[in-house]
Amino acid sequence: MAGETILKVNNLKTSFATKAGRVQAVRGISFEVRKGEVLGIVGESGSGKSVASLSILRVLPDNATLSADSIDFGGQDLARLPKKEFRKIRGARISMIFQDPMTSLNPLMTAGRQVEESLLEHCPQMGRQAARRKVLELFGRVRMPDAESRYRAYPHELSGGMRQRVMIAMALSCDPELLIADEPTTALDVTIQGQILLLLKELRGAADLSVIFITHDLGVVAGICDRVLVMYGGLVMEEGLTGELFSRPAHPYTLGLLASVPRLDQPKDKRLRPIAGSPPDMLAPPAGCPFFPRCEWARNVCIDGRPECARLSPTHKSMCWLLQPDAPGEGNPFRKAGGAYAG
Amino acid sequence: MRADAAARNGGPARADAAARSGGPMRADAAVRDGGGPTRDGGNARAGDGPAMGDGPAMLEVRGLRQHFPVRKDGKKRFLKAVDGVDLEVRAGETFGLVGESGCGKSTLARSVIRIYEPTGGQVLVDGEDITHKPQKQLRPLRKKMQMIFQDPYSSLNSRMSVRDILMEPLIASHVGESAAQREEMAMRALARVGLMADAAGRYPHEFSGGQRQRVGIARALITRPKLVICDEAISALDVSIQAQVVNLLGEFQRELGLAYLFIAHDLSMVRYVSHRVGVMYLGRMAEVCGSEEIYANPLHPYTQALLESIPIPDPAVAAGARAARLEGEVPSPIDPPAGCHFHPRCPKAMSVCRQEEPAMREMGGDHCVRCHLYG
Repeated sequence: MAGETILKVNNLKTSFATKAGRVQAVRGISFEVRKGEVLGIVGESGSGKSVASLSILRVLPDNATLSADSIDFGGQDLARLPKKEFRKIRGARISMIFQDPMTSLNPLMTAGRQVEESLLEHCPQMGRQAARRKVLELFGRVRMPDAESRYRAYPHELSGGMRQRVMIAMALSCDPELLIADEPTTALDVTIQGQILLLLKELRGAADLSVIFITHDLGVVAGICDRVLVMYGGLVMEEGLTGELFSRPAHPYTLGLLASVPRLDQPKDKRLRPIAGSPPDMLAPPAGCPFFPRCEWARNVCIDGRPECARLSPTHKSMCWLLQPDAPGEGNPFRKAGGAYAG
Repeated sequence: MRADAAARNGGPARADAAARSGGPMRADAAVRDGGGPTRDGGNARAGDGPAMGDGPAMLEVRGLRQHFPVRKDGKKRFLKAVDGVDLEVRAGETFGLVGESGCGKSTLARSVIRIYEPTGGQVLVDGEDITHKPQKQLRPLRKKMQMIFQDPYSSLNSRMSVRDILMEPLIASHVGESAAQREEMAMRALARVGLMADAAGRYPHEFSGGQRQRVGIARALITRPKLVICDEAISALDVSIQAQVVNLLGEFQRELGLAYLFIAHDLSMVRYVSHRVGVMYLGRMAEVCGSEEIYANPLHPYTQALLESIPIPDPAVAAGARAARLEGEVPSPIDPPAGCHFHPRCPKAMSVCRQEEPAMREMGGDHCVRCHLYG
């Protein structure tokens, strides 16, 4: 899993100018994606997870302002790449699938034709015949049953799962190095979600594809991601290998998320503990830790300053004052009796 | 458009709310939300409510059919969205209804409260047959049965203030003697769902999704109903907010002895909130039993497959399991497969399944299943 880094995002900030003021959706996040890994980005609505991924592809509305120290993708800085150059990357070397394929597909064009169009856009030298063969091959790769007839079907004639397969086929048409999947299974039934997750896993294994998988569902994260970023209030709260994050969650927000969802494999009388309150207003996000108004361990230091990064292992980082060496031991959920959990 | 919506959500009301939850009221909010570890901010778990099955039946559905006429290839056909469903929800009980999209669970809810006119069978609310009652006579009964919808943004009138939204059902069902009294009831309902009094003068767009759903709950409960139908009431909310709303619904159930018909596709949440669970497939009930039983001992191959599809938030568990997955998709309800509707996807299908429709069988201990394996 520890392949070379293919994408390195450095201090990305994205905001939107609105009538009410500037919505600071992403407020300085840094992360990297390695070859062949699935990086999960988890967070609630408004946490900035989708905006972060849209920023990488620079598909943002006109009122958006993006700044970053760098977004390094194979030696090119995506934050400063001219628009024309970017076209060669978007949809070809980095592609994206969305939550609702119905709104991303053209309702007036057959499924096969749409995939063909995107192929020809990036490889115009390929003839129609060859493109058609390639589309059918792609439909096979995404396990589309009855590919020939699905090629001629319009999006409304396909089920949600089939539409998402069409989107994935389109995303794979130019053999991308990175696939950004923004809640690709959220609108699907659990049984179909299972099928799509299985497909993504197979593709990752077969094509050495890296995936950024954006979701709010911790169950899906556990099933498919190698590493996870937990986002809240436009910032990364915690980052770690999936195993680390679930076995040793090291941020109060992560703890809260895990306690909010019932688990099938746990006794039913284990009580749900919701996180009180609601997410911060991104027009005027808190100066310190964005989670402090909802955190049961909040102290004065949390209000004033953003926490420093605490490293729990080479792969596991948390942004919480409770993990700093000078944090109180009393009532600290991250200190085991006697020894320090942090560091 | 999107940014606009964001701006709206992030409008002054939200800022206010955030400041409030960060301010001195915070402890208070935590207690109200059941977030504090010391407080019994429980939920609708089995055992918390009145003992199962001892209350009077608030909702009885017998052989309910909801067929919609459709045209297919120029011929008149029927889409059998609900095709002979029986169920019963008692006072103080939560009946969870699950199934994939297109299984008929939402149609069932709408037929039950007569948004649709049922094409067959019977619906009894609090012992009274409402299947064919004219809408006019149904009106006084409406306050007994209320519905909470998935998307409070589209189910709340955006041009009415929260005060008016809450007072409207009171006016419609002639509750309260004066406007002042109704307003007082609205304010009490608002406080009860954990919203501040100043929310009354605001409009739905000024609230976050979770707060809006609280308004939806207040509106549903203000007429003191006996039966509440929650149609994917928490599906659109963030997980941390879902738990708040579930706990709130549970509190109301214990306090008022409400009967909930809880429709959702999230099986982990359904098991958590329900006393009994029914699994629907293509318009028919496949299996009904106690909520612990259905997860510990699922009998129908469809139930088993559904349960296996649920992602478990634990990488250790997630890596091991997940072998058997359900192939294919739900067929069209216009041309359902002959025999057992599930047979084309069923890993255990036998020849009898292709020909004969299985009957619902009582397996003991209130566990019923519609499958030839148990014939």
